[in-house]
Amino acid sequence: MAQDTTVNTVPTWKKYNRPWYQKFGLAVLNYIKNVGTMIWNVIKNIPHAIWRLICAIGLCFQGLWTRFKNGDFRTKISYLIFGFGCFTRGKKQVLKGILLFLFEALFIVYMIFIGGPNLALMGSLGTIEMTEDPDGFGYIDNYHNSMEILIFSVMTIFFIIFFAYMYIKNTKIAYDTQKLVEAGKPLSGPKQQLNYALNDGYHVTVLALPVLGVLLITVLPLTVNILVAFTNYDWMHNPPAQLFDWTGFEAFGKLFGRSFGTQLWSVLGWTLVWAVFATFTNFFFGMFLAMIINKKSIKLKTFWRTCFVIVIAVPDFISLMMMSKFFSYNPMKSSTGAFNRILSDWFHIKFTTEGGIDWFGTSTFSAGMARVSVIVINLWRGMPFTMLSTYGILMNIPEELYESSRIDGAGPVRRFVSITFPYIMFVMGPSLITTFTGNINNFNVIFFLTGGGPNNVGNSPGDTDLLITWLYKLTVDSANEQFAMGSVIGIFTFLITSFFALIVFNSSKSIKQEDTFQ
Amino acid sequence: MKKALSILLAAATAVSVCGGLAACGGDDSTTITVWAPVKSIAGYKQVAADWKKAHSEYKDWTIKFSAHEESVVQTDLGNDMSNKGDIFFFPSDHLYKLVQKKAVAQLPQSYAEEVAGRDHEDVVEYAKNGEGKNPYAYPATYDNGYMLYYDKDLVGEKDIESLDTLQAAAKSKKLPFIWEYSNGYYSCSMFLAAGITFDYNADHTKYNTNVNSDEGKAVLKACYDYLNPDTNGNGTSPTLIVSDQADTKLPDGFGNKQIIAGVGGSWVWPQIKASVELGGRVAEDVIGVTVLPKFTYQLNGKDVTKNMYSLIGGKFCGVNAQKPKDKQKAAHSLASYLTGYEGQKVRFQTTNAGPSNKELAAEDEIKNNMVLQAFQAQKEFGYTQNDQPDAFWSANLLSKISTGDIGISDISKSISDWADLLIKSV
Repeated sequence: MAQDTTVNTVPTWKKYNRPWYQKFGLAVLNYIKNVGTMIWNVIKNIPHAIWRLICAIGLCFQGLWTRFKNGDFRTKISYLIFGFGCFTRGKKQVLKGILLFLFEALFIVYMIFIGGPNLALMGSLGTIEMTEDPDGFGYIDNYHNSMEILIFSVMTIFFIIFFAYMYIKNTKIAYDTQKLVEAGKPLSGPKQQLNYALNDGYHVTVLALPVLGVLLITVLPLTVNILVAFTNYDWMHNPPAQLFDWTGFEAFGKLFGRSFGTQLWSVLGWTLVWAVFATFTNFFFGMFLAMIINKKSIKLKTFWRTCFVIVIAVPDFISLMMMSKFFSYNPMKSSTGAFNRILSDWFHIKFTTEGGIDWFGTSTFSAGMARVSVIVINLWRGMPFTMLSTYGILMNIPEELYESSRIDGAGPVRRFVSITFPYIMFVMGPSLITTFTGNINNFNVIFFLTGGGPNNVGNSPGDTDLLITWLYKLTVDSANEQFAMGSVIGIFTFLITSFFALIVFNSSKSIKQEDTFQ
Repeated sequence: MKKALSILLAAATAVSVCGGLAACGGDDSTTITVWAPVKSIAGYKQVAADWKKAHSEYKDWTIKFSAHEESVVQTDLGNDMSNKGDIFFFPSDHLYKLVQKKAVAQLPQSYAEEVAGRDHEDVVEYAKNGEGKNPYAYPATYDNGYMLYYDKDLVGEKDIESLDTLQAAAKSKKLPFIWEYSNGYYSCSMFLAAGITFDYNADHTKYNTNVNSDEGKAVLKACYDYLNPDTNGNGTSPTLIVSDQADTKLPDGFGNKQIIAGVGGSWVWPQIKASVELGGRVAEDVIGVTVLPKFTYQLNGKDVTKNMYSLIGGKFCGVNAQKPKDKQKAAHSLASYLTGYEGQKVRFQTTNAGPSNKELAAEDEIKNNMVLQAFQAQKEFGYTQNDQPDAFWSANLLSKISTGDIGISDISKSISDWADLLIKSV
């Protein structure tokens, strides 16, 4: 029957009664297999996609050549002068032709003054460094600025790609106009063109400016920053005073190599550990909190919920800064943080040093203490979020399930494991992985609480530094900035985050395949 | 609806473009902006007015003063200096970074000769950044260093001779002695005294230090003896040598008679004086200033006693080299005047800054100034402060000793780790 091969078939390993740890292990293995298969499929498709792109470009050029062959002299000239095919065919198309011609003129002017000089220097990224004026005052004005050269070159390349597109479009327009004239059909006049721009082509009119904005403000800086990873841009090669050059994969080598390499992997390890703990402690504690508040015997449910939600209302910056000062430590009692003072003055707890406990490891340089404190304070901040979401889910679980399980003799733990937890995981699964990916880049918590942690020396990462806070330290906060290495860390973080995002994609597909929740 | 939307879009674009254009404009080709530390601005304004009178060709120019503390000028200038201050004051060890950023250029020949003639040779030599023919900036002060302030009512001449006697006096009086050894600026004092050098080579590609040697290890062991909490614990703090912010704790402590002595810079004196006088005592009578005490370390089985060293430097006045040529001409003229005899005299009178000007330094008023006298004496035990990597400032070896993080068996390893960090910091 056709039904047998639908998505609702139960996999073999679930069918038989195995102990729970075997089931869990097999589930994990199955999941990893799915992810691996998906990644392999993506990789298999890449050469095919590249081939299709090459074919498309080839078709464009082929079209160009056929149009040239079949066009009359007006079309042929419009290969040189844009819009010639339009404004020489009567008054109606003059406006269109002039606009096309102006575009070509703009391109040529741009290439002469900005594009050409910068593109010519793109290979060397500038040759003339700032030198002192022998006459005394200051430096000679004719130096090259490597960063400007890089930015303008990338912008020129974008412009050239757009120009190529418009070139092909222009020839198409000229050829189509010629065909219309030959067929004796009327050409569209300015009124119809304006009408087109405001109705059928309105999306082009209205999106032109925003797309230009996105290109300039988002795509251009992103491309330039990725390219910086292949240069030696740092504090000793800092425009306008100095030039920087292309160095290929040298920055990658330095970061993954011996001097920084050990640090990179330890920072990555801590980043992943932090993300796991931050996400799952928040999730479990939030869930338990929601379950407690949801119990029938608790009064004043709204009050308790409000108490916890107030934490979210205060901005990250303020509450985390306050927390870092609250738990601060100083060897002298008079300068130590409020929490230590409370413990020693109100609770009369005797500590080994009069200042109390060094929660963030600032004086005792204790990495473990700092890491645990950071996770716990993040728990305080993040619990209300998960509490709210799980609260909504809990309210939706039908009571009959609990009733029937109670009748069947299931204890509270069994009820939780079989009913509540799977229900919540089904709804919150993808959101959990998204939070996990977000926590990999959780800059606020780490930076405002510990500033990267004890053992902050120069450009080395501290004990609680994530990849993203280390990047900040290398580029913004440092006296010896290392921009190229920061860029490499950025690319690396992007690869890791996108790896986990792919897993989300995989989960959501696999969840979509289960039409109903079993 | 669509037409209305498109008209609205066009109008919004036009307004934002106009707004952007309006932000430009304003003509400031005859304004000189001076970045000076807050306390010196009042004095320099006076000097600038005199300069305008003396140079009639600039009488239509305006001079604006903007408060920027010297230590942050380097970061405030950033990379693009074309719209920052025309003249700025900065500490001497930032000179390398500013030359590297091409914020300052070598002084024109005439000004270079003027500076060489009127200022102290050491400072002029230092302003050449080790490779220039001419100095890169005008020396403005020459008093950056730290020395020992002590309370004459609590300790006598004998007690301040060495760190050991100071520690004994602190224990008997049960009051601490302040030495900010958690700050790299003050903690290098003993290493420098033992003859250890820390510097880059001329083009900053290599860092040279001989800290990983017998002397270095001996010094760290001596620090361990002085600071270790187990053997020195007593009273309000583990060792009675307390590391606290010198700039705030010295005035407070002396004012309330809570400390017996402290290591502080020459710039703390005005606050100490004010605080002590608030406490009802006459500052010059009860507070003494002298060279840093001696300390002892064991090398090859023998005791070696040396004076603690201080990092010595001064403040420079630089002219922004990335401005139009006319602006630079005027700025050089003004900067030279601000750091000349009159300018340094006014700065001394308002902030007690030690001059680099030879003529001024020979005057009685300066010679009799207690703090500057101590500075002159301390210069003998001084190490020129130059550009240092971050690992030099934030290594925190001495704090780790005082909390017990570095034990007696870790001394060798800590020294070699620190040396590694320093050498790798290029």
